[in-house]
Amino acid sequence: MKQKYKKRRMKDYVGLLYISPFIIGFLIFQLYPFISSIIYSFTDFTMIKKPDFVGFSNYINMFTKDRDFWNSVKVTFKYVLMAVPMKLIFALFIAMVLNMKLKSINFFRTIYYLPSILGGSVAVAVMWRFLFMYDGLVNNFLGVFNIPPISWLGNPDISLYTIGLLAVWQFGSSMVLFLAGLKQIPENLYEASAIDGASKVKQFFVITLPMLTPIILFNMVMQTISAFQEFTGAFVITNGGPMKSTYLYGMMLYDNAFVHFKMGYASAQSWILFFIIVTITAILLKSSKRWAYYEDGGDF
Amino acid sequence: MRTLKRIVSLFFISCFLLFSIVGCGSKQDTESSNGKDDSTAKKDETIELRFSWWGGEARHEGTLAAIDAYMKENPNIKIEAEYSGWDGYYQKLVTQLAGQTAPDIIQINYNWLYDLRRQGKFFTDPRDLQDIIDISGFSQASLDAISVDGELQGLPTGLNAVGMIYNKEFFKKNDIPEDIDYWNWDNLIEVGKRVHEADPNQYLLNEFPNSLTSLVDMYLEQQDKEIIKGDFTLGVNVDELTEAYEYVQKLFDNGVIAPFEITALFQDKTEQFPKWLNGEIGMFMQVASVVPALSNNFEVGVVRVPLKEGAKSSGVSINATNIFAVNDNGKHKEEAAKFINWMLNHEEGINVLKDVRGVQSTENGRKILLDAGIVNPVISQTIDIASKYPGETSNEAELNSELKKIKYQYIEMLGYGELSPSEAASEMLEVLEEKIKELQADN
Repeated sequence: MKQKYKKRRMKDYVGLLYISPFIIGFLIFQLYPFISSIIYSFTDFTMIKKPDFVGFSNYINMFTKDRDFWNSVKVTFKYVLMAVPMKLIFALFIAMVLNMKLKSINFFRTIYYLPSILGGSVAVAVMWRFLFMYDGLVNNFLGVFNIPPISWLGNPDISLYTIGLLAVWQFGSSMVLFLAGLKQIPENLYEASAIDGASKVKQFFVITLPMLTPIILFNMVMQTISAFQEFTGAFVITNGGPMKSTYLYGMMLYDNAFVHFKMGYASAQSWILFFIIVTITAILLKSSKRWAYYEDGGDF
Repeated sequence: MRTLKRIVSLFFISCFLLFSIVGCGSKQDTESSNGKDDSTAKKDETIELRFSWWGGEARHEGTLAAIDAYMKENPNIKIEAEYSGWDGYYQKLVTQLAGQTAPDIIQINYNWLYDLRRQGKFFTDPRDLQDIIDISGFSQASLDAISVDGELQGLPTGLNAVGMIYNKEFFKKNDIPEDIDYWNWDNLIEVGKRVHEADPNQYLLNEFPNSLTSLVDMYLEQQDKEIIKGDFTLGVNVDELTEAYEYVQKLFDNGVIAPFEITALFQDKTEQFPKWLNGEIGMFMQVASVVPALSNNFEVGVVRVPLKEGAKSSGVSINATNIFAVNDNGKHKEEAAKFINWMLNHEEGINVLKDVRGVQSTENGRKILLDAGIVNPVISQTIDIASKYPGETSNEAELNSELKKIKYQYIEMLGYGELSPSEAASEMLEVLEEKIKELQADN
């Protein structure tokens, strides 16, 4: 008996050992910063000087004095509300195209996934700048059709959408999930409805969309979370400008932490961002009971 | 199967053990070497130095060549180069300073000095290493400019100043005199208007939001005013600032200056700026050290900044291009100092580095380069012009990153037409005052 017990213990350790790289990484690079940032958010930590406790003043200043804060919150919400739906609609559209039974369809699926692999990198963001600059490729192309050049990144009213396009362009992972979801919809539903005389459009709205709702929910939650944390595009392409029109929350955090040395303040801001994301996610999940359809009556 | 499992787990366990042993071992190592100084190090022991800088292609090549030459001369020294472009360099450096992993020799910028020194002492005062570094060749003024509260932060790598860098072809094409003393604030508008009317694609002047902020400072300094004084009080009233902003507005309205919509994207990336590369921009205010990067496609020249008649100060200051600093937490401060001394004072070092950091800041260095004929004539001319029409050096308040950000913000709103000159002036002074109060409360 004892022998057996010992053996099992040993086995447990071996298991732990296997996943130790992940656990160690998680503890050092995620859990530790996570916890220490709570503490720092109540201090005037500058990364270098010894931190002093300042109570809630970081949080109070943020809501009462900081002009950038409200602007960034506004810009970020605008960004999320624009980028997430656009990305999901686009991903679903491409998924439906790629769900057709075509020759060499796997080749196209691979091709369309490529932007997502390149997506978030700095190099692509630099490319974006050159595509959308005033004398850039996009405007040159429009010029062929006699459309006057548009200041895609220089106009404060448009620049956020241009940055959002970069996110939409990385639709790959959502698309793959949609594709899997589409494959799971039983063929007989379509057949039955076709016999009843339903058009393709009608089929989309009464069969495809309802059957996909669990996947739409999942994609929406994941994309919303990542959109709130968007940084690379705004940082590399416009650096928050023009006139803070692309000064996303992540950029403001970065500036406070690494440009103005206000690490304690930035920690407090990151906690507010965390709460915003948690709240929005909770609302999405809660509301899903009303609109997400699970064949097995799924429960959250 | 079972044996395979065992072998695999054995492998992981041994890796893990090895890892932890190595980890402990290296820790002991640093502890023991921390205690001793390089003076006790043996001659044949290899000393590793890390050296970080930012720059363009020419500076990288020159500096790497200098490192090679120095290592050849001193076989016991190994210098590891950590170089990059300007973007992100400061952020990385701050993180390294905080984590005490900064390189031994660090290139820093003069406008970070106050922000950094207020956080702690990171750099060794070269005067503490005076038997190794010879600072006698540097002018007192150039050392004062990079001292904080009398504490010297490093040594200037070269001299730098702004001038109006212009495209010679553009000037010839548009019949603009290349006379150095030609420009004042009135003919800037006259000529700019004419140039833009002749061809709506071309602009006499280009200023990005950050350089336009400096241009406004300069405009005011020529009237003996500054927005924020060294003692952190406001030095202009709403009317005076409105007048300066109205002038800026005129620059935009008359097509003298290219609109931000087209240009702002290329701020700090001048060498990629298409309008300049296509020859559609006449001139812009730039520091001399970027001249090599700007003159790839055509010949450039330099003229004085626009000057108000009778102005006491031009508003142009001669600054250190950047600064070589010795990491105060470094293990080999003396070896680092020796290398800096070699680059800035030794004939060989100066000859290898050439003018990749502007004109040498020591008399001797300038002479060596001049004799060898390797100073870029435009760079040295910019410095000459700046010394002929000097201005005041920037004070701590002007270099404060948060105050600078505010000035920048309002220039942007003015340039994009969001605010009128008088709105921008009165609002900005209010916000500045608020921020100054906050800064003083923090200290």
